[in-house]
Amino acid sequence: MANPDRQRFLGLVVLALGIGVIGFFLGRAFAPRAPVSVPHTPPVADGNAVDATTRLIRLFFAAPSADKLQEEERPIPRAASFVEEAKRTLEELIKGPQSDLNATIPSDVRLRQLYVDARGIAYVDFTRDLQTKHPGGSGGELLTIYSIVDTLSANFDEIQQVKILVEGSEILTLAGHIDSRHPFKPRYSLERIR
Amino acid sequence: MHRLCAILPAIVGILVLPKIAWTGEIEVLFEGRVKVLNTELLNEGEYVPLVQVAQVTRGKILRDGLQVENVTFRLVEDQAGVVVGDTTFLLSAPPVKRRGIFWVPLEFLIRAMEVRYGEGRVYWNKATRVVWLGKEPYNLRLLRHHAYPDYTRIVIEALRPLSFRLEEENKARLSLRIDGGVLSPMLSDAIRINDGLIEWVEPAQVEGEAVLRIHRDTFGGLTRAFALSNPYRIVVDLYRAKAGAARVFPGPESGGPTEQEPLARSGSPVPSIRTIAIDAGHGGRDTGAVGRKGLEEKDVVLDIALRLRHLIQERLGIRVVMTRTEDVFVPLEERTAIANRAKADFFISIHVNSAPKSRAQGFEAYYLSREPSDSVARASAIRENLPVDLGGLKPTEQEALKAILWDMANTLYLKESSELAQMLLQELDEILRVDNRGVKSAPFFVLMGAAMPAVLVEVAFISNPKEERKLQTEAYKNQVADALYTAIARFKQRYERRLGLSPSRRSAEAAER
Repeated sequence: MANPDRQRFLGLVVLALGIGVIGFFLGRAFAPRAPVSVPHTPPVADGNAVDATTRLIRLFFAAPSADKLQEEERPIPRAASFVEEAKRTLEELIKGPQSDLNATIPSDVRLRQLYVDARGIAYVDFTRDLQTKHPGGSGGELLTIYSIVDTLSANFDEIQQVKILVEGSEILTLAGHIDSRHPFKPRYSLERIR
Repeated sequence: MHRLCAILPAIVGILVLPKIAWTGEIEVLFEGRVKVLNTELLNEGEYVPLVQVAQVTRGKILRDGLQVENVTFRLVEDQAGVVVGDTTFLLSAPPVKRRGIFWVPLEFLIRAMEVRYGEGRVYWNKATRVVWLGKEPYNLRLLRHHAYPDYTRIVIEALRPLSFRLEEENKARLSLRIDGGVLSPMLSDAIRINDGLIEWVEPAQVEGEAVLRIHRDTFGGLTRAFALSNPYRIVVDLYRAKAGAARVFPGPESGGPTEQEPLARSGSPVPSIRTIAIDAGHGGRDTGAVGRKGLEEKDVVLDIALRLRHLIQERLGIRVVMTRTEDVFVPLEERTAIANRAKADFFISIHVNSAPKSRAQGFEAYYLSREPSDSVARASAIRENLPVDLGGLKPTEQEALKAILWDMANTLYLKESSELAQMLLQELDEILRVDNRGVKSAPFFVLMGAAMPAVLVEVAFISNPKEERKLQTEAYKNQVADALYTAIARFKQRYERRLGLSPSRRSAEAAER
């Protein structure tokens, strides 16, 4: 009882049983110390499969005109849970486009954590560079926010809204313009009103 | 065995103790016991070990959090979001892990203790550093105030509905008496307001009631108090005195149409634009966007804003309020507060844009989108912000009507904002030979809370080398200021003509039918 390793082991066994059927999918990925990062959101199987091991995702980057987002498709390896796939998707978004589109996230930024609550709000946590290395400007700030929000919402039905965090904490704005205290809903059109 | 389980971590704790530099202690008084918790400064905030939170809440430590009674708090290292049941609340700072154990900010302790001992019962005195359980749970927990063009609003948040009355003790002092109100110890300090209307507000706990003493700066105009729900709160409005024109709020008996127009920029017998607020974006440590040659947004926009102020004062002869006139940092929420306090008729925020890898150039304008990013919080702010009295109606009816009326006011502001944005771009288009990128809307922080039409204009792309060069010339900055001035003059004319027709009055009457 006082042995922490034993306790951890017991905890993992209970968790594995609890996950039940999905444990089958976890299969080989379920190493003894595998971080089951979001125990409160059960992994859900999803569609969009290219083949058994990869799926196509849609990434939203800045159009050359810098006034709207444009999509680029890319395959990513399948993961045990949609949360893991969402992380990979954002990592692809950070890597930037392979076409003539422009990146919306400074290349030094790292994704620290991503979790999704029962209301379908994804909390995505980036390193400080997302703020400090952002080039600024309202237009650029909107493109950064909605490239993240649209990319997650377009690829994962489980995600309806996205809240952006930096170094684990809530932010007022990313670059001094857009109120980021609340989760964002996707906004696939950033076009002008008039 | 059980005793051993409890003692063992304690021994380990004692062994580990001296190796960590404690920065503080707090005392927790509960169930006739005193427990001293060790705190440490981490991330510039004060933290306690989760293990100790568990001890004072009789909670159970889980692998990923804490269970208190049947409530589970799920923690993730370095994540400020704490999942409780199927909701999430955000801590001011994220939990951290040290030597395999979680440390949490002090507020988490209070939150967890509230689950164990009841909401409103956990008291915390910063000065004496004691957390204790009150015999009588407090039911008044938050006090805030906000200056609007015509009035100042004081809001006190309650945990349940309470009856209250507003008494005028003398010309300089009002008292809001809340029956059965118990102030949270966090509300023990007097609050200085000094906005020309209210000097300070002083909460006091009296037998059987809580009293909020409001010390007036000058003898103001009318005052009123009313209640709102979700969360429960009591609102006191103090209006600025209006020479001659006393405003009448109907008492509870009179259910007729109100004298007050919900949307009017009231007080002026002839509607006119008298004050314009100009906000030069960024400033101080916030440089804003930076051009390739090193030109900084904060300097360019201040320069243009000052030129614009000069033009407006000289040619229109109306008052201009600046959110800054030098290179200083001004928080975003303070910028609209400055405009509200000055009773500005509209608000223009000047910025320059950036898109480093793009050849983008030109100007664009934004106004606040209506996207309800947080519909609940927004809705309550909306109802609170609506300066209209609907005496004689049931609270539920009032709520519904206020929502409708505010929606109309908001629609009008948004309509005016979008028109102003449109005019600004038209004039820039006339003078500058660059791309007109159009009017857009988005949830801009700096435009929120403006009790007036408000627009943000991006006059150029500092990331475009050609535009950066132009922004360094006197001629170009004058052209930009000139275009903005012309648009403002045109807008003023149209705005005044339209207000003369008083559409707001008609919509208010329509809503009350």
